[in-house]
Amino acid sequence: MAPWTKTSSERYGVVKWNFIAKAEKQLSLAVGDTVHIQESCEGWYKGYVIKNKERKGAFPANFIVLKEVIIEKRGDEEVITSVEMPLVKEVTTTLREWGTIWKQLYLQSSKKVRFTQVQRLMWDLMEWRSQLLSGTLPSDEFKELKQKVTSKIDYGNKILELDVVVRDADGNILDPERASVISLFRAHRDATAKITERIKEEQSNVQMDHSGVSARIQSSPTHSLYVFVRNFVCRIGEDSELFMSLYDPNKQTNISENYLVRWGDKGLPKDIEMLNSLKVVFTDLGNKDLNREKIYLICQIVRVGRMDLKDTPNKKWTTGLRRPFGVAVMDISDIIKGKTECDEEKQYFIPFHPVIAENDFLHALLNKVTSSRGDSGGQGTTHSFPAQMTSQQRSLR
Amino acid sequence: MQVVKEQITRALTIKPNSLDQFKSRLQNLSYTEILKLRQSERMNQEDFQSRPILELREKIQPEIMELIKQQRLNRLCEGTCFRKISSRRRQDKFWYCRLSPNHKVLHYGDLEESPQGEVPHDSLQDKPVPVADIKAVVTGKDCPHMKEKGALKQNKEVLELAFSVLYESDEYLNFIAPDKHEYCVWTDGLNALLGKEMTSEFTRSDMDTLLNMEMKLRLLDLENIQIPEVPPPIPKEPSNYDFVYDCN
Repeated sequence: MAPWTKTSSERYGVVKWNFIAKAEKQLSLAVGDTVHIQESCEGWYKGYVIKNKERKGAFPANFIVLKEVIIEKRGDEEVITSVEMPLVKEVTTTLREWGTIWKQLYLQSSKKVRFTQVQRLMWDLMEWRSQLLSGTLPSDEFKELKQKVTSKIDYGNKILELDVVVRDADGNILDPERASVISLFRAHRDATAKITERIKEEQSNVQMDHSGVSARIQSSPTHSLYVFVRNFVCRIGEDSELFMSLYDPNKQTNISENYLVRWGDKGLPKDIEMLNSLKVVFTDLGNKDLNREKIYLICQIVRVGRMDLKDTPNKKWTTGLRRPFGVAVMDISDIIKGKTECDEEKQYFIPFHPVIAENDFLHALLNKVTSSRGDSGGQGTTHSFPAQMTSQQRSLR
Repeated sequence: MQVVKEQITRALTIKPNSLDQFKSRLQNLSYTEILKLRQSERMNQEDFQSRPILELREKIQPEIMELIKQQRLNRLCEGTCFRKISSRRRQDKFWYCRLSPNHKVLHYGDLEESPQGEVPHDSLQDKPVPVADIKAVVTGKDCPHMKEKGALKQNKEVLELAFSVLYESDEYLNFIAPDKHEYCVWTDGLNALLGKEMTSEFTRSDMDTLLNMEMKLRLLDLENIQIPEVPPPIPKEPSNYDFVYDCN
């Protein structure tokens, strides 16, 4: 006769298989229900389904997947909270609340538009919730996603005329027991203003992704730019070296080191294996760099070979001399500031400007090119910028 | 770091024979590739094939069907404006039909022109049809107004939007729905009043939408938890049911 004992750490779980009660003191369970467990005995638990606290009964322990909890004692009662992220819990309760309202909207045929609108909101939230739970997001994308989720929840609550949830700067819900009345009032006022503005935005279909990108930029002190060099098309006839770097035209200085690619005379990189993987990451860009007015990606091309291109290759002439050949310049201020979206496949063609006379300085040519916008005649390098502005601090999530 | 680990494990699963193959495989598994793979795996997990989920689905289905029935009857109570076909085609006349709020009677009557808003009850002149007297609902080719000679001149669409209500063993009330959606709503509603199953395609699609959303909401807490293939064995019943607190 084993006695029933109160459980200490096994308090909360999810049902993973349907269970039909066979005796009066047993409790039927449906898959997906969440249960609170109070006692255990011989492989059975006793507790109740959270949705229906009145009915208590016994059910087998192996039908439950246990979840970790934090137990707080408030006076006589114990408050059990699961260790899931508070945002995830909020999304879950919000989704369930909206679910019942959504079904009511279905019944009223005049609310068809609202019905589909709420349906889309719910799908988006569910997708984002599973992304949050998967634990596979780097920390900057996580912050961006948090912002997106909270703004969607606020928008949905507003159009369904539910209570406004007041948040602090990080997107966490303000606890009325811990915040002062005046700060709560101010937060309420700010929240309503922000939400009405966002509703106007959504209604005019303006795509303003500022909130996501600015959250990402504010969250990390250093940034990097990832450049993938795809090809270099130029008729030189000799080996050359490409130096790529970031350049500030107003101060006329390079703001990064040079990335060197040796290119052979046949039109392929010297190191054939690197053909499809000429990738470089410019790291340690601080906020000061982001705030520069204009940033260019420049490529200085140096020809390695004879003194003068026009001379025929002859043993008499010295080779191995490095002569300037030209520059290629591209304005990437928009990409750096996050104003244009970047994806892996988009390739940019950077036009190329050759030196006019053999004794020109590359620097002078650079200044000329950056101040004008000329045409180049089809020669240049192709780059793509996947995944810009990724944060240096990727935590081990 | 997790992404790098996953890239390497995935590249190793195909057991490459040389370092070159390994390198080329790694190159294919870029960061965005991994994210895409993960997302598609998450989508596939929602395939809902496991037994307990199918059982739950069947359990919820009647509730959802009840919801759909409620919606159809609400629509019928609001009423719809129908067109009359006349063999002379001189002028399209309108008539309005609606169900009474207690679902017992069908009111209908002629209208001069298409109404813009609510049509009050007393403007529907004709004798109302009690629902209890309705014997059957026929659709399409079987409708008497479709069988008329003049009707054959009508195009095929009208045939698909026509339905009739048979009451008092030989009286027919003929409808031509303005569009497919109204047709489905009315045939569903009338079938529901007769206690029969609702069979239109809108019912099926509504049922899918509602049921899928309901299932997703219920299974939110099972995220990242694998549902077993076979049911866990039910342990032997406990020797007693003396719970610690008997707070019922």
